[in-house]
Amino acid sequence: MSTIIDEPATQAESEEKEVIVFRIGDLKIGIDIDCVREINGNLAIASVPIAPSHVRGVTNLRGEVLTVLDLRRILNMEPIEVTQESANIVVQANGEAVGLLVDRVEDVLKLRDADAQPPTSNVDRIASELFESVYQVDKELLIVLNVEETVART
Amino acid sequence: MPFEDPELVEEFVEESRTSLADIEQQFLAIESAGENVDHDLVNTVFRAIHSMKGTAGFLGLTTVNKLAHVLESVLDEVRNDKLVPTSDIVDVMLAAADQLCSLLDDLESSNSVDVSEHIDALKQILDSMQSGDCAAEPESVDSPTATPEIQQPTSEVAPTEPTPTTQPEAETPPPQAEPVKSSAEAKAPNSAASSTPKGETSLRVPISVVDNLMNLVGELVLSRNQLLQSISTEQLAAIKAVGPRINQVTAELQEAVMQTRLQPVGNVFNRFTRVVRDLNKKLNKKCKLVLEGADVEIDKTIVEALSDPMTHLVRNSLDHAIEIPADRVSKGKAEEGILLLSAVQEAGSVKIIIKDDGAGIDVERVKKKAVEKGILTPERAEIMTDREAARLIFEPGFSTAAVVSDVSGRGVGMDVVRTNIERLNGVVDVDTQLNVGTTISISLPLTLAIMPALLVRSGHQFIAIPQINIGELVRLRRDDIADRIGCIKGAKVLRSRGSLLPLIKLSGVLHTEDSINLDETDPEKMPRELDIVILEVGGSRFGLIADELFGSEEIVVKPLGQHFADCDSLAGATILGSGEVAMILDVKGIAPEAQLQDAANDLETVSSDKKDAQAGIETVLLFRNHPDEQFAVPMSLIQRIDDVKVSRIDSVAGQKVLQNRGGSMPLLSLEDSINAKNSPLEDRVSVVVFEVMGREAGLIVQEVKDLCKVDLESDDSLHRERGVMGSIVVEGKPTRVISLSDLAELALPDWFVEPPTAAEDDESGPPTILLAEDSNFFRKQLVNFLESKGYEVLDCEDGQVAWERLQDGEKVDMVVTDLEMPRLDGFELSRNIKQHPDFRSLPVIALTSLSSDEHRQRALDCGVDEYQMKLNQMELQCSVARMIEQSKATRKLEMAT
Repeated sequence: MSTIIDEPATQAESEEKEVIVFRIGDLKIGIDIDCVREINGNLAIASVPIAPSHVRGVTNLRGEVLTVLDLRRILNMEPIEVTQESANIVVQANGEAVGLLVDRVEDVLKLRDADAQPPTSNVDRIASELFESVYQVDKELLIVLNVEETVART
Repeated sequence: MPFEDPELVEEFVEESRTSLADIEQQFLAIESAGENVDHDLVNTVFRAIHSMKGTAGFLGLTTVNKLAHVLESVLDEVRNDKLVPTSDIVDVMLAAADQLCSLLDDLESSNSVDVSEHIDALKQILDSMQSGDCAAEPESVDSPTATPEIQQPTSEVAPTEPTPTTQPEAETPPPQAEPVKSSAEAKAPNSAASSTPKGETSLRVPISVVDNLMNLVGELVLSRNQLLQSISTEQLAAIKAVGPRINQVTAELQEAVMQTRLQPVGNVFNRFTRVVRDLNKKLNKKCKLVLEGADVEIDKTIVEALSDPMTHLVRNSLDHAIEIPADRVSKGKAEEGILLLSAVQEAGSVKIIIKDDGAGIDVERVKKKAVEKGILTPERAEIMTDREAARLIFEPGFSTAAVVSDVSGRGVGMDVVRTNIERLNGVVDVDTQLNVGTTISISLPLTLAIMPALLVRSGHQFIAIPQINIGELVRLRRDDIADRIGCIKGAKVLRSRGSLLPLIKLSGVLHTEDSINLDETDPEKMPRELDIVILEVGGSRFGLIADELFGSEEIVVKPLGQHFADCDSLAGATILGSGEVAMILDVKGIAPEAQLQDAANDLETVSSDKKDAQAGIETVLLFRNHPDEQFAVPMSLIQRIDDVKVSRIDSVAGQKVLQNRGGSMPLLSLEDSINAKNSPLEDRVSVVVFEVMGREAGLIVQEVKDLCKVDLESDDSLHRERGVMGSIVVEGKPTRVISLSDLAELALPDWFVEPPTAAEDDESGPPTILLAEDSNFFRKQLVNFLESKGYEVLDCEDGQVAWERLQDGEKVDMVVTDLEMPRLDGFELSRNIKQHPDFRSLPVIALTSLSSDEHRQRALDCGVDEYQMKLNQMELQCSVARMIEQSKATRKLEMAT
C-alpha cells in the first residue's frame, strides 16, 4: 500500500492531475482522468448471474462486449437500481476496457499532488488497497481510487 | 549472427519456406515418375533450390548455401538424364530438404549446424555415378558476389536466375501471391506450421480478393457519407434508403474478409503424401493415400491447427490399422491398403474423414482395457454399444498400442487429438468394424470467428448455443412430459429412442430465473410445451431445457473480459441484431455438470433395467385384430415383424402359409386358437415372426399399435385360457398377453413331439428343480409349468435364498435361475455352484429377458450350462429334460466307477 501512495508524493511537488469525480452513495470518489476512455450513458446492461457478484453485467460498446463492474459492490455497498443519473465510466486498465457503474458523475477536478492527505484509516468498509490518495475538497473527503486495483478486485 | 537487413532475411525465409513446401510434393512426383523424368518438374525444383542457394550465399548463410549447392548438383544430374531418381535417392534429397527447412527455423545459428551427414550422402550419390565430370564440383563456399551459374555445367536455366544483387521476390509468381499481414491472427494452438523468426504469422491472399475488399470498403465509405448527409438534413426517406445498402455492403465485406483467411484443406492433406510414403517404407507396409476434396477451404488457423491431430491419426492408421501385405492377403483383402483423407463442406462446417481399410478396432479389447484402467465400470461395459466402446479410445489415459512404438505411441494418445479438435470447436467421432476398417470423422467450423448458433432464452437472458454441438431438438407436449421425463435419484432424465439422457436446465447452469418446475404435480401448471436441446460433446449426449427457443443465427464471437475467466459455462458473447448482448454457451464447459449425473445414471440405468426384470416389467408389442380387443406379445420372443400383402398368403391343407425366402412359414391366426374376434383382412397385414422348436412361425396381426413397457405382475387372472399368459391393463384397456409357444402348440401340434416329461425315478421320486426367480409373475408361471411336466420345484425369490437352500442340503437335480436378481444374481449364483466341490456337477440353466451376446457370454463364463429366453417354455422344457438325463447318466457313471 505504502509504495502506491508514496510514488506520486515523491515526484515534483507541483505535479497536477485531473480526476473525474462521482458519487457512490454518500461517498465522493475520483479516478485519474488518464485512465478514463469515456463516460457512457448506455445503461442497457445484460446481467450475467454466474459471473462474480461485483460484475454488474455486460454491455455493447460499439460492437465490443464490455464488462461492467458495479462499483457499489466493490466498495461493499448494496447495489441499487440503475437511475437516470447512473453512468458507466469506461476505464482502460490491466490491458482491457472495463465499465464502472457509478451513481452520478459530478465534476472534473484538477488536484495538486501536494494537497494529497494520508488516507485516514477509518474510511468505512472500504479496503485500503483501493485508495490511491485522499483529498479535502469543499469540506468533503474525496477518495481517489487506484483504478488497476479496483478493476482487478474480485 | 545478427543480420544487417532483417527484412530481407525475413523475405528469404518466407519465400524459401513456400518453395520447400512445394518441393516435397515435387520430389514425390519425381520419384513416382522414375525413369520417365519430367524435365519441367525437375527444372522447377532445380530453380527453387538454386535461387535459395544464391540468396543464402548473398546473406552469408554458408550452411544453407552449401547444402543447397550439393542438392542442386544432384538435381542437375537428374535433369540431364544422367541419374535415375530411385526411391533411395529421393530419400536422401527429401532428408536434405527437411534439413534446409529446419535450418530456416533458426537462421541466426544456422551456420554452426553440422549438415555434413546430408552433404556426404548427396555426394555419395554423385560419386557413385560413372560420369565423374559433373560430380567433381568444388566444395568451396560461393562467395556472395559470384554468379551461381558459373559453377553450373549447364546454363539452361540462366534466364530465370536472379542475380544475387536483386531482391529474391523476383521468384514469386506475381499475380497470385501478395503477402498480407493478418493482424487479427488468432493464436493457433500447437500449430505445426512454421512461424517466422519474429513470431508473427503472415497470410498469402490472392490479389483479386484484396481488390474486392478495396472496392467494398469504397462502397462502405460512400454509403456512410450518404448516411451522414441524410442524417444532417433529417431526411427520413433518404436514411431509410441507405440502410439496405449498408446492410448489403457489410455482408459482402464480411464474406470477403473471411475469404482472406480461408485456405484449402489440401495444405494439410498434401503433407501426408510424404508421411505415408515414409511410414510405408519404415513399417514395410503397402498403403495408398487417396485425397478427396483437398480444395475445400477453411480458416487458416483451423487448417494449421489440424495438422497435429491429423498427423497423429494418419500415423495411427498406418501403424496399427493397416496390416502388413501378407496379413492382408491372408484376410482376403487387396495387398495394398487404402487410406482415404477427404474433406466435405456441409452447411457452415467442414467434415474431414480419415478412413482406412485396415484391421479395425477390437472393441472387446478396448472395453477390457478401459475396465482395467478404471475408465469404465464393468457394468457400464456390458451395456455399452460397440460404437460407444470404440469412442473410449478418446478417453484420457487410454492407449491401445501394447508396445510403444516410435511411429504412433509417443505417450500422447487419442485424447490429445480430441482435445485439439475440441479446442477448435470441432467434434471427433469414430466408427469401426473389426477387420473391415476404421473411419474417423472430424467436424469443424469453417471459422472460429463466426459460427451458426441457436438462440434460446433462459429467464431474461438470451443465450447462443453453437450449432455444432446440437444433436437435435425435442419438443414435448404437456401430455408427454410425464412419460418422457423420468427421475433417477433426484436427477432428471429424458427417454429418447430407447436411451436415457441426463437432463439439465439452462437456468440451473446459468443461475437464471427458473420458471419450469418439472416436479409440478398439477398438470395445468406444467408448460404447454417443453423444448429440449440435445447437446453432443466429446461423445456424450445430454438434454438441456431452455425456456424458449428462437431461430438459428450466424453470430460473431466476441471475447469476454477477464472477470469471466472462471465461468466455464460461457464461451464468449455476441451482439444480437437488436444491439443486446447474448452469452455463448460453452457446451464443453457444462458437460461435466451433466456428466456427474451421467456417471450416476449409467449405473442407475443398469439397475433400473434390473428393476424392470425384477418386477416382471417387459417390453411388449400391442396389437389389435378388432377395435374391441387388445393383445400383447413380449418383444423378447419376437424375431421380426414383416409387412405382408394378403395376396401372398396361401392356404395349404387348411393351414395358412407364407412363401418366404425359398421356404414356407406357417401363419397362425388368433381366432383359430383362442376366443378372439376378428375383422376382415385388409390389403396388407403384419406378421409377427417368432421361433418355436427351432423353426419360424408367424402370427397374423391386423393393426400393430405400439411398443410399451408393462408390468406383467399386474395380472388380474381374468383369463385362464390356453394360449394366453395372463391379462393386464394397458392405457385403460384390458389386454391379453399371448403366449406364442402355447399358440404354436395349439395350431401346429405336429411340430411338438412332446418333450420328455419327468420320468419317475424309482429310487428318488420325481427330479427336483431349484428355481431362483425374483419376479412373482414369472416364478408362478414357471412353477406351474414345470410341475405340470412332472417335476418337483423348489422356488426361491432370489439367488441368495437359492444358495442357502442348496447349502442346507436340499436334494436338487438341477438349477434354473434368473440372471438379474437382488442380493445374489444369477451370475454369482452359477459361479458359486460351479466352484463348490459338492455342487459342481449340478446342471444350471439361466433364464433371462436380456438377450445380448454379452450377457450370454458372461453367463457362460460363470459356468451356466444353458441359456434360455424367459417365456419360451417349450425350449425350456426340452432343455430341462435333456439336462436331467445327462446328469443322471453322469451320476450313474460316477456311481459305477
